[in-house]
Amino acid sequence: MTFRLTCPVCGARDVYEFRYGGQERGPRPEQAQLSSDEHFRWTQFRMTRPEPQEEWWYHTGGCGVWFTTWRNPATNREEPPHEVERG
Amino acid sequence: MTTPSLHRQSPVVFDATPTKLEPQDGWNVARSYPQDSTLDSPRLIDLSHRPRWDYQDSCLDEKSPFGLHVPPRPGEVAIASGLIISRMNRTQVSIGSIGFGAPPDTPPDVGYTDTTDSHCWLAILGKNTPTVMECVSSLDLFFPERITPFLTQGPVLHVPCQVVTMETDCILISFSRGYGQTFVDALLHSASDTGVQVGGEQMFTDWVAEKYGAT
Ligand SMILES: [Zn+2]
Repeated sequence: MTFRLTCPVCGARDVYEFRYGGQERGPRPEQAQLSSDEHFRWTQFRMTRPEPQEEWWYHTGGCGVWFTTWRNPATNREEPPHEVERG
Repeated sequence: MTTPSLHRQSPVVFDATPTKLEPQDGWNVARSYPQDSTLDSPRLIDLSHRPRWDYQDSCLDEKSPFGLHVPPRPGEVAIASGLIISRMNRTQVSIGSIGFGAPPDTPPDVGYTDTTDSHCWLAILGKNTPTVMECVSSLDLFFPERITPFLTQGPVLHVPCQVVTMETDCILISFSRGYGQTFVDALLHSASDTGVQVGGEQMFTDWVAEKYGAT
């Protein structure tokens, strides 16, 4: 299995040059009124839908930059987000 | 008991006996090897004794390290005053000495890091240079639409490297010092069909002089 990712510094490169950094999940929620369930969902819960998702990647074999990109896990292609984003 | 003299040591040792070995700033530099008289096959040349720096600043475009103009975009490279300056990303450049004169001292600005001792720096020289690089990397180092010299950051022999394509017949490679010896052993083995062999530093300085003048 292989595919390419687009580093903002280096351009399109083989995925084996990158390290996966997980889904982008927004800023850490405020702790003050946070329920344990909400805390659990933010720290542990991940989407597994076959549609584009925003992800963090690290160009470990190249320029050493962290960046986000949208990838469709069903096709392993970079793909812009679908129009209606889920909250 | 004798006290060893202080000296610096290149991260690589070539399995060849130089015909001219000269001390320079505490390094023993192999200027030439017996087979250097003709450039009939590609050469691997050790430049690790040549001074290198990283320079970093959040407003890099407003700075001029060593008085040099900073290339505006990542991947762009400029050569002036015997120095080569490569734009790595938004905030960093790497700078190396490729000229003949004494290199400049490291300025007191906190943005400079002297990386000479932490890196291995090599040159591949000669008309089959692209064939040598194809043996050790899948990076597109000779994309015709790019203007030389240019920087590519990526794996060579699975080692994260900065690779500067000077021309079709000259590539500069730098990477962390610890990979040095296994890197050159693997390169000489992998690309042996090209006839690649080790060369002295003089071949590189002659190439620079012909290309850029006595910079
Ligand atoms: Zn990159």
